[in-house]
Amino acid sequence: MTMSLEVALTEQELAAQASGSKRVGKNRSWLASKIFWSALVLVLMAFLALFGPLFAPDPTLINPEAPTLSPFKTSADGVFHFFGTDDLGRDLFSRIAVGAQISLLIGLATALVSVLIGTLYGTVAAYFEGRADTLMMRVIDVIYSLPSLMIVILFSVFLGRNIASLVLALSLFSWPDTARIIRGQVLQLKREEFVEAYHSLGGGAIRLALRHLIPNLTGLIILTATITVPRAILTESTLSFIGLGVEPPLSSWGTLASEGWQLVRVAPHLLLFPALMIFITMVALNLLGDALRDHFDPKTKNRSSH
Amino acid sequence: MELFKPFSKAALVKALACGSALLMLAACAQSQRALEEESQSSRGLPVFRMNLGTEPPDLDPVKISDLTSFTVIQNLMRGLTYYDKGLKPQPAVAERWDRSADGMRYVFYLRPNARWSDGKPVTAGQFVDAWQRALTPETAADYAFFLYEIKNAKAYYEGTLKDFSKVGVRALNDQTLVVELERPTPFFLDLLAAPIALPFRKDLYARYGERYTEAGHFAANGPYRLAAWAHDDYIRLTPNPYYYGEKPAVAVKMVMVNDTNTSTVMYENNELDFIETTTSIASFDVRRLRKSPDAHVNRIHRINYFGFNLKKPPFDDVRVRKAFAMALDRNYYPKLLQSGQKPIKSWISPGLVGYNDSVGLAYNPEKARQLLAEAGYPDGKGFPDVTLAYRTLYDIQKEAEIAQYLWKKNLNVDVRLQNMEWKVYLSQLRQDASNLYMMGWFVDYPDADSYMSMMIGDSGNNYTGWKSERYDSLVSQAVVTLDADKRQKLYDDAQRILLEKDAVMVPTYQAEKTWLLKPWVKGLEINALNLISLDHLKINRKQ
Amino acid sequence: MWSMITRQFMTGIVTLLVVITLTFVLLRLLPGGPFDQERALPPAIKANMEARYHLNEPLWAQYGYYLSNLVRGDLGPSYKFKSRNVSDIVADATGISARIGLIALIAGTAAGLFLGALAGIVRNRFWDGLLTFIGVSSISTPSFIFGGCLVLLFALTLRWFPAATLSSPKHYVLPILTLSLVPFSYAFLLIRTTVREMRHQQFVQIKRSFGLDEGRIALRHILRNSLLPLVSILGPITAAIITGSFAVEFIFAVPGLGKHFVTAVSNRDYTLVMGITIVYSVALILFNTLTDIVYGYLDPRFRESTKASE
Repeated sequence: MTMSLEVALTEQELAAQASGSKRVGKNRSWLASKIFWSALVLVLMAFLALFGPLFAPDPTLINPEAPTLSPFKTSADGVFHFFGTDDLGRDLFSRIAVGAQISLLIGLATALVSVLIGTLYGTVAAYFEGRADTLMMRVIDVIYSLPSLMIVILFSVFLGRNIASLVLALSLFSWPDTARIIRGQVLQLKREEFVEAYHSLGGGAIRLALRHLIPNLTGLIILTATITVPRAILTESTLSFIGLGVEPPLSSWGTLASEGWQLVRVAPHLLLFPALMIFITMVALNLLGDALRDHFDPKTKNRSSH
Repeated sequence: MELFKPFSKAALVKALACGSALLMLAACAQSQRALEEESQSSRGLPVFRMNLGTEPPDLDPVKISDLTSFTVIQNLMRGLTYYDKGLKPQPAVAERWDRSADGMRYVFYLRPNARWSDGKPVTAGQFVDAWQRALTPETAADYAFFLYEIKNAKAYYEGTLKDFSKVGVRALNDQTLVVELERPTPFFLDLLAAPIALPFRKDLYARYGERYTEAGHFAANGPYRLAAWAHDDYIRLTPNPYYYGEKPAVAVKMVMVNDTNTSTVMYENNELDFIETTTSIASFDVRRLRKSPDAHVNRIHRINYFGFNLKKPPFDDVRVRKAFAMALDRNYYPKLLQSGQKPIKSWISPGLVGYNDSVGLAYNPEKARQLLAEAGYPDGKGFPDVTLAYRTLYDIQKEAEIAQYLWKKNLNVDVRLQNMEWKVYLSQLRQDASNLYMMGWFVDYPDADSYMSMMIGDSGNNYTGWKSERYDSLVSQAVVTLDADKRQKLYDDAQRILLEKDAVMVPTYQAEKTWLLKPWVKGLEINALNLISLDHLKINRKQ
Repeated sequence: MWSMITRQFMTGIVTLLVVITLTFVLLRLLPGGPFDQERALPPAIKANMEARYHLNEPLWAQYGYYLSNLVRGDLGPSYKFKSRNVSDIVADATGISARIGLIALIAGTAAGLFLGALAGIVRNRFWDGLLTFIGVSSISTPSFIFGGCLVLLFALTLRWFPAATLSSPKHYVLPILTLSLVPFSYAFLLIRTTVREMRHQQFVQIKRSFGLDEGRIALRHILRNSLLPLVSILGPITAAIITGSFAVEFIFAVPGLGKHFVTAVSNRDYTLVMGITIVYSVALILFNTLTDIVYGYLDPRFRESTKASE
């Protein structure tokens, strides 16, 4: 019965919508604008990650003449530093742009891996129901009761602290969320007539999954992916902050914030800018998740696919 | 609906209020206790407040191996000898000693008035007990090898000798200790000042077991006694009434704040009387704090260096090693790290017999490029992938990035950086070091031998894979050479092989300690082994 | 009910065994051991130190020792703090972490409950927007950023509060504030959704038509109906507080479990890492079980469904 906040919220929403207690005065335009603005912010972040480094000085260029320059300052050799420089005189803006690549990559990859595993697991559990399902859900209960951060820390020290091992370690504890939500939805879909009709016509399990279940789950999968990304980014940045995240010279936003924390008395901008980037991205992702959750309506989706 | 009755709003609020009140009470009670203790012990004596940075892992002199524990023990205990400010061993518990002409036999005469903080006398037998314990394998003492200079000690430790009476230490009576050595080691008296050689109270250990180091159990024979040890919180020292020397005029409170930002703020708010770079000052803050009138600096015997792994190309070629050494502009370190790094190109630090600043390869980018071209990589073309490994730590990360930048700038070669968590790094170094690695060496005893013997062929700390019989024999000759000029000559020759002819390592800078001391405190001493001595503290807050 | 508790207990034991085994194996797989130090120890000395702690024996034997000691309640000696037992260190650290964690849990949940309910009730677009922003910001702010900014503002700039350690009640303010963000955001979001759903449920509408004071209805019903969802995420809140406590203890230099865990991993202090992991797991299992019991007690539907599934 334990679940993460995201699952609790999603299940609450799904239950409410399934039972038909539609919201009075649910504001579609408000929802649409939430989705629009958060998506816009995320697109801008992706743009920063992909093209930011092209417009900024080399992030690895050490300049002994310009350490810890404040934002909007031009160094003695005439280079303008939008976010200032770090203690080795490197341009903070370009470091943040490169950091965006790493933070976003970790978030997206973790979402991808956990959605893949979770969807498969959830579908299988719901498809077989009964004992298999009970056992599979018990495994998830056990995972929920593991002290995840500690095991992630041990895993990442063991596997070396690169992007792939962090994604693996983070996925280990985020796929059960997807699995739970998907299982619930598949169980519900199974009860619906068309599946029974399909069975009576002698359709196989795999074709059923491919032809009907997966398309019907698309919206929900996107939703679970959306709520997995911010969690992964949060955990990764926390790990990096306490010095256990990705290893330099890779520097995610969490790593940059960690370096900034060391210098907080001397150059607070080194903490504030990476922190601001994490915050903005997290707000955008959570708003998007929130809006998608509100927007998501299992009933209309089912109808429209038929 | 009925089910929800027990959880009515009022009940919920009450429960919440009670719960939080209880917790707050617990929090307050704890700090109240701390405050009371503070006022009680400061009743008579002024309190000197300093920061240890962390909980000392242990206070059992035989088992400690870290600076935090050393700092506490330094002020609690006295061995046969004791370092003065200039790191010369002075009489301590041993009032005087005789040394045989061949330097192989010492007779120590103990002070009759040397006492423990519980009033019991310090006896020669307690030193024998201590060394036997240190050399007993089950004790698992890190620094047991310090006693290997004593005759048969190594054999006893390694189990080839079972009878401790054959080891060269004997108590003739309570005040006389006879020690025989394996070889005429010139720095034997230095070793005796180390924690591993301190006397041991068998009786207390029998009574309390491993917990004999807790406050209330522990007996000290130095200027202070252990008045309180609140784990992970603070340690309090008060003067030892039975100390043979001049009794301190202050009590000491050592807190354990492991955040440099916080400890600096605490100093600025007069909550601490003393902070220093090892525990309490962020390296980046050093430049600002050095301008303070409270600032003091002193060099410590620690040199950081880059090592080459000679077993892997391209650093099997001495020209490439020299090119890398000459491409390193050491002035970048003080300029960017700004915490008093003093560039050094030799492998013995100033203040020790053997130091010679003319030894070592100086910065010379043209020569470096030329050497690299001779080795087959003109302008860095075709240079293979090489990796510089180092420990994950903020300052070290910066050092690596600076070196990477300089090699790129001067030689046009790309060096990949690979940092590793400390223990991963150590185990990699010992199994299969990467092409380049970064380490520092902090001397164990104030003698050039501690630097030089680290690089001999079968040293466990030489990860380069380099072995030179000539170097090894020069170093082992120098150890037993008592004449300073001859020693200097031997060390110069050895250093030239290590740093110039074979260029197996590149020393970069010597560390410097910066510390701030409130003007009302006098008499604090820090030696080049980074040990803080509080014996002669005087506090006059009225100034 | 009892069968459910028994089952939960059994699951708890299984979980604990999984945790112990996983941690044990992972720790031994990490490169480097507790006695690898900056200066290499002579091989004979290192071998002796390892022998003293049975580290030279086969892995399964070490595992056996560990389990049999654990059953007797002995967590073993610390490899780093050589004169202390893991039990002592863990007991001290748990006291500190639990004190901060519980106060933050209660304070954060209470604040989240209040503001979340408010956010669910208000119709004014401005207030709805503001409260939603607070809620979304709170879940979007990692503890280390919130804590770092609090220190920057209140400790380093304004100097109202001390920056770190726990030496007086005043020192507790910032760490507790930082840590309470997690339960606050959880409670806030959950209660807001719950209250919104409730507002559209029929009984509220009926009562309103009878002219009952809306504020009173709201308060009573909100408290009753929000308890269930709140209890259901008690486990995850605990888990999130644990995650947060790592950052908080790092920022405020607090010697709690999280701080000890990080240093123990880098020291390869095997027994201490195991001890802390076990304490955290037991806390998690306890809160999860509590959730299930309270859930079973409060929700008749759930009670039936568990019966049915047996």
